Amino acid sequence: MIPGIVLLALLAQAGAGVPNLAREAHEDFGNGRFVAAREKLKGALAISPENPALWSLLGLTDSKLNDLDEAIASFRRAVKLAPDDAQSWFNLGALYGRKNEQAAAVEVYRTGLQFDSNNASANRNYAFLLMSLNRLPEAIPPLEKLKGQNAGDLSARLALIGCFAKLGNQGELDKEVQGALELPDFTLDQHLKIARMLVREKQPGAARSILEHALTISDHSAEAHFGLGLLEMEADRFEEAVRHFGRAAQIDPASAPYSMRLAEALILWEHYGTAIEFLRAVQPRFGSLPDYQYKLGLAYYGAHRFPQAIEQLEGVARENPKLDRVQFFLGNSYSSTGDLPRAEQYLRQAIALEPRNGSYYAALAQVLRKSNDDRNAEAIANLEKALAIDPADVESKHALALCYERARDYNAALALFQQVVAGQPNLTSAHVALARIYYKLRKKTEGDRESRIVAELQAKEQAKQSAIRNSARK
Amino acid sequence: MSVGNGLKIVSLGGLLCLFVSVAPSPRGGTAGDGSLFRQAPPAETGIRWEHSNGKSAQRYLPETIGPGVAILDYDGDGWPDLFFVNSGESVFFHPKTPLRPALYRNNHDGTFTDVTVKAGLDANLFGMGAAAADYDGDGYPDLLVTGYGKCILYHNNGNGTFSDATTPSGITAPGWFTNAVWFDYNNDGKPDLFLAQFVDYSSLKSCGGANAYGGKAEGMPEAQTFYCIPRVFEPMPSYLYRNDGGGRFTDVSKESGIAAVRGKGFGVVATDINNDGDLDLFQANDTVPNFLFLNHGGKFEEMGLAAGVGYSEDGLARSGMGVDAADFDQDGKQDLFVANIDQETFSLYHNQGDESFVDLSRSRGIAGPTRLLSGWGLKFFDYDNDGLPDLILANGHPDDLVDSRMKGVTYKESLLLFHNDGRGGMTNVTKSAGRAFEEKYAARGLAAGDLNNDGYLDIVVGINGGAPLVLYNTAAAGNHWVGLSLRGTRSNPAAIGAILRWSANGAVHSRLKTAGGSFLSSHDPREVLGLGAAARPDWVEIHWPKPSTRVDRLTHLAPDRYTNLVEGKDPQ
Repeated sequence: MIPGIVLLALLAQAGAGVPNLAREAHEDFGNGRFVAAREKLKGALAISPENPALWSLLGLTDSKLNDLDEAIASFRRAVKLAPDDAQSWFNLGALYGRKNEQAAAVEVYRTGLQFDSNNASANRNYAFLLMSLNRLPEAIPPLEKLKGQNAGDLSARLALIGCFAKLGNQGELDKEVQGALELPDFTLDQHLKIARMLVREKQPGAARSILEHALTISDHSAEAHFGLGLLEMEADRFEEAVRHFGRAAQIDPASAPYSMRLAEALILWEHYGTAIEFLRAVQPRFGSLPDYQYKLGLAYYGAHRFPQAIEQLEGVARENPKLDRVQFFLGNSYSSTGDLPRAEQYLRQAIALEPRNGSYYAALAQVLRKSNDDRNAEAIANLEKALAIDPADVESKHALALCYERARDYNAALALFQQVVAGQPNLTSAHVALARIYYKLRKKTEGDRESRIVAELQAKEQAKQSAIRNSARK
Repeated sequence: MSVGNGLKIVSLGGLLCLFVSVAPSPRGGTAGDGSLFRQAPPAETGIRWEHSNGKSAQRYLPETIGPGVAILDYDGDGWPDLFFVNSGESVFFHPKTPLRPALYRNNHDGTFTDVTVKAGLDANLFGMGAAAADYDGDGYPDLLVTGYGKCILYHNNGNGTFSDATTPSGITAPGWFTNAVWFDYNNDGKPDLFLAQFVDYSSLKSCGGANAYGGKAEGMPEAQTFYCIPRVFEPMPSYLYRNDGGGRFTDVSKESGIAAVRGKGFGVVATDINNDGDLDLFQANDTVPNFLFLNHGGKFEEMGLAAGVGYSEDGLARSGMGVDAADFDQDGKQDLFVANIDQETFSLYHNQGDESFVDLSRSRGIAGPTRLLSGWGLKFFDYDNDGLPDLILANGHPDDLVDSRMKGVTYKESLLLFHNDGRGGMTNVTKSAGRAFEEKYAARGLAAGDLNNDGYLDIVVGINGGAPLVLYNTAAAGNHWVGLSLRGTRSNPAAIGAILRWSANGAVHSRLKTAGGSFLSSHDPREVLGLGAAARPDWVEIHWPKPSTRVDRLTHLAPDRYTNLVEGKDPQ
C-alpha cells in the first residue's frame, strides 16, 4: 500500500483548497472510510483534475470499494498524467489481474517494469501472470531476477522449477531442483510442496530427488515416504513402493490411504499372501471401507483363492454396483471356480458399465470358450470386439486363434498364431498351438519346427524350475 | 459246430475252446435304495489292511502318490483276488515296524482272507503300484510291484506262492516307478513291460512354500514344509522291457524310442489308436506334456503334441495323472481320457481317425464336474451292462494342506460316476451312485473287476493312508451279459489288443482289450460284455491280436456267465 507516498505527492502538486481535501481523503482512506475518501478525492479532482496522485488515490479507493472498472479508469488517468509512475502501472496490473484480464495485466506490468525493473512484487506478479497464460519462456527472466535478488526466494524457485518442468527443460530443471535442495532453510513442507508440484507436472525424477532429500531431513515423514511410494508405483517398482508405503503406514497407521496403497503395491508386486495378511491385520481399522474390501478381494483373486475373492468383491459390488472393475474381477473369479453362468453374468455387467474396455470382452470370450463348444461363435464375436478396441492385444489374438481352431478354420487360426508367436516368441503355449495347427494342415515340416521350439522353451523352463528348486533346497 | 450245453461256435480262423465258469457269489447284494453301488465295509469283506502313506513332517512327495490296487486271480480258482500296494523302507522312510502289501484271497462268499505272508509277497519297498500278467505263459498271473527306487517282479509259482524274480528277470533299473503296463509291443506273443518313471527325486526331498502346490498358504509358519509341486523336479525317461522268454527281459527303452523323451510319468494305457494292430501307449505326465507313443512295428514315436493330447487346448502342459482308453462313442476308434489336477479339468479326447484327437470334455459334460478335482484312478467300464462304456473317477488332491488355501478345493474328494447315454454324452450320475459317492476320500488307485462273479463290475479303490474302498455294483441287475476270459496262445496270454465285437438285439458294440490305464492299478483281466435287455447275444466276435490274425465268431454263447476262450484250441 502506498498512501504515504500518495500523500506527499498530493501535497506537492496540490492546487488551492486541495491540500485539505487530500489530507482528509487520505485520513479517511487510512481509517477505512473509503466512501468518504472517494467523495473528497472527487472534490479535490474537480479542483485539480490533472493531479495524477489524486487519480492514483482515487483508484486505490475505488479498488477498496471493489469498483474495479472505476479503479482502472482512475489509474488509467493517473498513468496518462504520469507515465513513468511505475507503481500506478503495477496497481493497474493488479486490477486487471483481479478482473482475470491477464493479457492486459501483463502489458501494464511490463510497462511499469520499464520504470522499476527491480520491483520484486511486480516481477513476481508479472511472472505468475505469464505462467497463467502459459507464456513460460517469458516468465523465466522475471523469476530469474527474483532469484538473483534473493537466492532463498522459494516462491520464485518453485515457479522456475514449474516452468522448466512444463517446458521439459531437464537440464535447467535439475539445476533448479539442486539449487533448491541446497537452500539451508528449505523446510520439509517446502520439499513436499515442490514434490507435489513436480508429480503434477509429471517429473518423477525431480520429484524423487526432492522427496529423497526430504527424508534426509526427517525419515519420519510419512508423506515423503508416501510420495516416494507413489513414484515407485508409477515406475512399476513395486518392491520399493511396498517399502515406502510400509514405512508411511508404520509412521501413520491411522492413515487409510497409506495402508490401502501398501496393500495395492503388495498386490501389484504379486505378494498376495502378504497382502492378505496385512489387510487382515488392519481389518479392525479399515475393514468397513469399500477400498479395503476391494483390495482384499483382489488379493484373494491374485492368490487364486477365488471363493474368498468372491465373498469380498460381492460386498463391494452390492455397495457400488457401477464399478465395472469389480464386476470384471467377480466374473473372472466365478470363472475360476467353475461357475461359468455367473461368470458370464458379471462379465456382461462389466461390459454394460464400460463397453470400451477390451479386456472385458476377452474375459467373457474365455468364459464362453470354457462353457461349451456351441458358444464358440459368441466367443469369437467378443474377441473380435476386444481386438477392435485393442488391435495389439496378443492374448485376445491367441484366444481368437484357439476359437478358430475349434471351429476348424485352421487357416484363420494359423494366421493369428503366427502373429502371436511373432509378437511373443517365447510363449510356449502359442508355439504348441501353432505346431498343432500345422499338423492338422498336414504341414509336418513346419509342425516339427514348432515342436522343436516348444521343446527348447520347455527345457529352458525346466532349467528355471531347477534353479528355483536348488535355491530352495533344504 | 456245437458243443456241450447247446453252445454254438463259429470259428473263422481256427480252433476254439470253451469252458463255462462258476455261478456268482450271493454276497454282492443290492443297495436297497436304488443306488448304483454299495460299499462293503471291512467288517463284511474281512479286508482289515490299511495303507500307510508314511506321512512325515518333511512331507516327502512319494507319500502322496500311492497306493495302487490289483485285481487278479492268483490261485486260478476263477475268483478274483485283491492285492494292495503299501509303503515301506526307503531312503526317506524307515517304518518302526515293517510294512507290507496285502494279498487277499477271495473266499467266494463276499469275504477275503489275507494270504500275504503265505504267498510270500513281503515286498520291502516304498510301493506305488502293481500290474498283474502271466509273463511266462504258465497260466498264472505274475505280479510286478512298482515303487520308489525300484520295482519287484513276483513270479507266481502256481501253488499259492510267489517268488521274487526281479534279479533274474533283468528288470532292475533304479528309479521312481509308478504305472506298469504289461503289453505285447512287438507282437511276438509275449507280454513286455512298460514302466513309467516319475521324476528325479534324488536331491530335493522336501519343499517350503515357494515350491508347494499353489504357493505358501496364509498363516503357515515359515518353517512349514509342503509337498513339492512336481514342476521343480527333473523329468525322467520311462522304460520298456522286452520279454525274451524264459523269465528274461531286455531293456529296449533306447532302441524302441521310449527313452527319447523325458516325462513325469503317472498313468499309462496301452491301446491301438490307429487300428494298425500295434499297441500304442498314452502316458499321462505331471506338469509336463503327456506322451502318445505311436507304435510303428516296435519303434515308438512320441506324438502327443501332433495328436492334440500332449497339452490342453490352450497349449499348456497340465498335471496328468490317471488315464484310460475306450471307444466311448462306438465309432470304432479308441478315445482317451486323462485326469488332471484342480482348475485344469479332465480331458475326454475323441479320436478323429487320423491320429489326432479333440478334447470333448466341455461338450460331453466332463469339464464342469471335474474343474475343481484332482483325478487319479479311473476306468471306462460298463457298470450297467448296456453295452456302452461308462466312466468312474477316483479323486483327491495331492496336497494335504490344500483345504487351508483354497475353499473350493479339498484334500479328500468325491468319486464321480458318469453314464454313457449312447449319443456320445456322459451324464453325471454321481448323486444316484450311492452313499460311498457322497463321501470324500484321498483316493488314488482304482481297479475294476467282478469280485463276486455276478457279471456286474465292482470297484476297488486304494486310499492314501487309509482302508481300501470296496464297492459292489448294484446297478446292472436285470441287464444280461456275457463274461469272457480270453487266453491267447499265439497272441499274448491275456489277449491284450484283442477286439471284441458283439451284437445284442441287433445293436452292435465293440471293445478293444486295453492294458494298464487307471492309476497304479491292474484290473480284472476278464471282459464282461453288456447285452442290455437282450437275453442273449446275437453273436460275439473275438479278433485276436497280432501275431494272430484269427477272428472267432460265436453264436449262441451262453449269457450271464463266464466263458473261458483259449485261442486256437479244440473245445473240451
